[in-house]
Amino acid sequence: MAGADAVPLLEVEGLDVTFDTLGGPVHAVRGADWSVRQGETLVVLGESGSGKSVSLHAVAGLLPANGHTAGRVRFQGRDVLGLRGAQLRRFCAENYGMVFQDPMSSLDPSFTVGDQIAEILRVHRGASAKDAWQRAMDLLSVVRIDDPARRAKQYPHELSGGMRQRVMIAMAIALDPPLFLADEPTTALDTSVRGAVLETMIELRDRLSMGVVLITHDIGVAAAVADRVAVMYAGRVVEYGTAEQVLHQPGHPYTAALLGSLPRLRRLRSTLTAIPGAPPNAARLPAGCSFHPRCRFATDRCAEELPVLQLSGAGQVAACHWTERLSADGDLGYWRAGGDPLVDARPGDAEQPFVAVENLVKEYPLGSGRKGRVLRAVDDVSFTIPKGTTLGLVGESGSGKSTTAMIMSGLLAPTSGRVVIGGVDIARLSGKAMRDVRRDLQVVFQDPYSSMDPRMTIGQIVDEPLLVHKRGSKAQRRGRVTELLDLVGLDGDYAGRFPHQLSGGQAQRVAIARALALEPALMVLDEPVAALDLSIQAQILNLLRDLQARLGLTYLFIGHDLAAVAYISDRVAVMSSGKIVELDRVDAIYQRPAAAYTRQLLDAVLDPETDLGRYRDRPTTRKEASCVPSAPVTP
Amino acid sequence: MAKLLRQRLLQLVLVILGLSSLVFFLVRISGDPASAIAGADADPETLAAIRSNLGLNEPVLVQYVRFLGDLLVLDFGDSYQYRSDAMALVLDRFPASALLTIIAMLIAVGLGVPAGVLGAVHRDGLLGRAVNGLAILGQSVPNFVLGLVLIMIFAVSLGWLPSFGGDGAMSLILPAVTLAAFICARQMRLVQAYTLEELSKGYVRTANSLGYSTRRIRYRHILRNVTVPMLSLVGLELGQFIAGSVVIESVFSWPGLGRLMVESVTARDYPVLQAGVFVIGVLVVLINFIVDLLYQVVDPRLKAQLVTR
Repeated sequence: MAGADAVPLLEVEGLDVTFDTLGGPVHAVRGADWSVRQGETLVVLGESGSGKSVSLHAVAGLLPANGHTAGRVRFQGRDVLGLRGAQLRRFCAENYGMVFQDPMSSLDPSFTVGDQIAEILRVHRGASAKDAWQRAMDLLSVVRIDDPARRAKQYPHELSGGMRQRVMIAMAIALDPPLFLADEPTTALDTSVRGAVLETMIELRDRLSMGVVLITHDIGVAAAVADRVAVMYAGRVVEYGTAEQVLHQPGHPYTAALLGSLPRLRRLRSTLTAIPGAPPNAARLPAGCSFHPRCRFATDRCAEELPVLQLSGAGQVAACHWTERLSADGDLGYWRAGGDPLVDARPGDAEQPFVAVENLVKEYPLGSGRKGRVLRAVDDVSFTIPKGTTLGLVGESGSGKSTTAMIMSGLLAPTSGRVVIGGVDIARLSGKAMRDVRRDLQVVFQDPYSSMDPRMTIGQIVDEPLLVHKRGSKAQRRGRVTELLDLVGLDGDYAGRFPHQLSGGQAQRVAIARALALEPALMVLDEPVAALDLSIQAQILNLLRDLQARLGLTYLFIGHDLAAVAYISDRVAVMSSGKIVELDRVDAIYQRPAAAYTRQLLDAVLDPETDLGRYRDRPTTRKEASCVPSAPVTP
Repeated sequence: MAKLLRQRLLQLVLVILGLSSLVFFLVRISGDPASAIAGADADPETLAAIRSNLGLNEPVLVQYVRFLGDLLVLDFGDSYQYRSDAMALVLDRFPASALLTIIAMLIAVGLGVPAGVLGAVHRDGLLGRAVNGLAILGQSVPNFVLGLVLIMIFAVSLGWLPSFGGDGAMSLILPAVTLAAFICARQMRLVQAYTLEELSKGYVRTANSLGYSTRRIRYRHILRNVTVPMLSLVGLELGQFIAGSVVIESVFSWPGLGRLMVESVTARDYPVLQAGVFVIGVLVVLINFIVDLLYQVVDPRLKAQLVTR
């Protein structure tokens, strides 16, 4: 790590970004300040719409044509915002290495990964085809891709997600840039490869003495890699300081609230403190502090006067009028895990199961299928769910968890096996009998928008199941719709709106209201919070828990985030390669994981309290001696 | 690979059988070739003689079975009009159509693809609007109208080019340009749409972050990805027009397959029609097969599939 007096590599001062849109100018970033030094990692933390990615794109000259910047961005003392055209392109390519969220779409599908790396060296260094290719393979081994000679000749679709992101990293460091910019680099990756990719990034930072700016919405990732953290909300940096300061002693109520809404294995049974409401639209910001409508500490002053960043600790700043008082009173520490993490894990194993899945198998033919080669997406899966409880099904992409959910929902026929719900085997049902079962069995999907007809109002959407199953007169149904919206915490006024007018969290509430319309006994929840911002995710998780307690619902909750799944579940089944590798009560899974894979998943969970600096402070003993070629990178 | 070949062969057989049967029955309910040959006021005896001579007095099903037998050995019989081998006639006219289409396609691709890319890149600018306007104009003006206008200007008023006929490069220019304008308009539109889609993709942002020139991004990265959907369009149109553009060949009296087919319909010249349809069917299937093979070359994702199956 560089000393505190080192000159910043990149300085962002009062950065403003405005987009011209049909509805008038949208002020996406409002006076952001941050800087990063050589050898240091700055994490910009924020939810969607906070302006974190936009500010990075502004720095890297990647804004679309309708984006305008103001303020100052200086790289090694040189003004960046004044650069234009070929000059800007050249400058950014030489000085920044960039990695984006989705490595699949960020690579050109029509060229081999070796060609794509070599192209950089041929364009910018005038390297010969042979030298460029050689260097491409060196770079692939630097980012720890095995057998680079073979991998270099493959196309992006032939690599795994983690490998694709490593290729992106190799491309980013091809020109030895002093600064590495990563925009949500691990968001699209499975948690088990996330740690290794972050580790590689930090290792390269140290070896090449780069500065790193990492944009993320994931507090765990921020804690694990950051030296410094800038928290953004509604286009402004609201808190800034070292990772220890910001994530362990937050000075801004928003930072504390984010920490409070994060599901954590260490405090599964204490209710998440969700942040009410939704992040504001950049075009219509509230007056005063943008966060005040959602802040539990807000006063009249907060609604009138915009707080500026002020010192709250040594080098830590926060944009809140009340930081000093709140810190002194210890009001911002409510999110900390306290006491016994797992107390009242509900029993239920002894009860009569409401759902019993027996030896479920789903096979898909591979290729022409004539040779009998098949893919077993679901491989002999059995579990039971007692009435009124939640079974969490956790697994990574390709584990078969969503296929299991589809079969459970009666949307996909299994190859073999039984799905008994309330005494009826739905795997063998069809037509009328299936429709009857459907009433008791509702599904909520990951993306609420795509599961609603965009041309229907919310009222019509929630009413449709009632209409189809002939539940009461028009007036009765209208009353029921209001009741259902109220149940999920939405005002009756929402009935007249259209899906696109809702935020992600509100839309997911509507999807839940629709699922509840026919008073189902079982809800299959397929990644219902995966697409939501952290603060909204906590609202929905709490809502689901609350609805279960009030209505006695039985849930099958599918997810990839072990902490979130554990938070809502009584028992958890861990799936991998189509099989359930472990199924037990949440506390048992957490305290005494039996399967190696479960331990691996548990280990991959990043907790801001216990995993702070986990990848940042790498033990120097496991240096890169083994798999790095002799002289791949010029220091 | 072997599987794809098998599939395509089977497809070829089915297409030919279906098409030929359809044409066989359609022409037989559309009129009497005997009266077409002998003239409208021929006496009944002459007509009957002609019919029995051509084997048209037998029951239709018997005719059909015989037709299928001849199809098996690729014997289409003699033309009623010209009294010579029908297939030879068709093959004699075919090169003229193929030449016209290939030249037109080269002009269309050469102009349409860059224009489409530019139209997408400058979507809101003057160039984008111009491309849009031209594309709509090109698709909405019927090609015989465009052909006649071009004849008026370049053949009649200016006298630079011949207005009809099929000899020499000069007489090729007007029909080729007319046909190209029609194909080009559609291609501009599609290339523009595909390019717009590609422009918003992540790899374009990556290329920008790597400081590549806009020309490199457009013509190396985007164009390569646009080629995949473009190929199927070019393939379809090649198949469609290589077999003769009926309207354009008629307007310019171009001695191609399309015009021959029109003449044969009027004259109820069954054998020529059957031979022509056969050639067209084979061509369309063949070109689609070539496009399929090209897909594998251009799109690595499909290549992987091909290897595994």
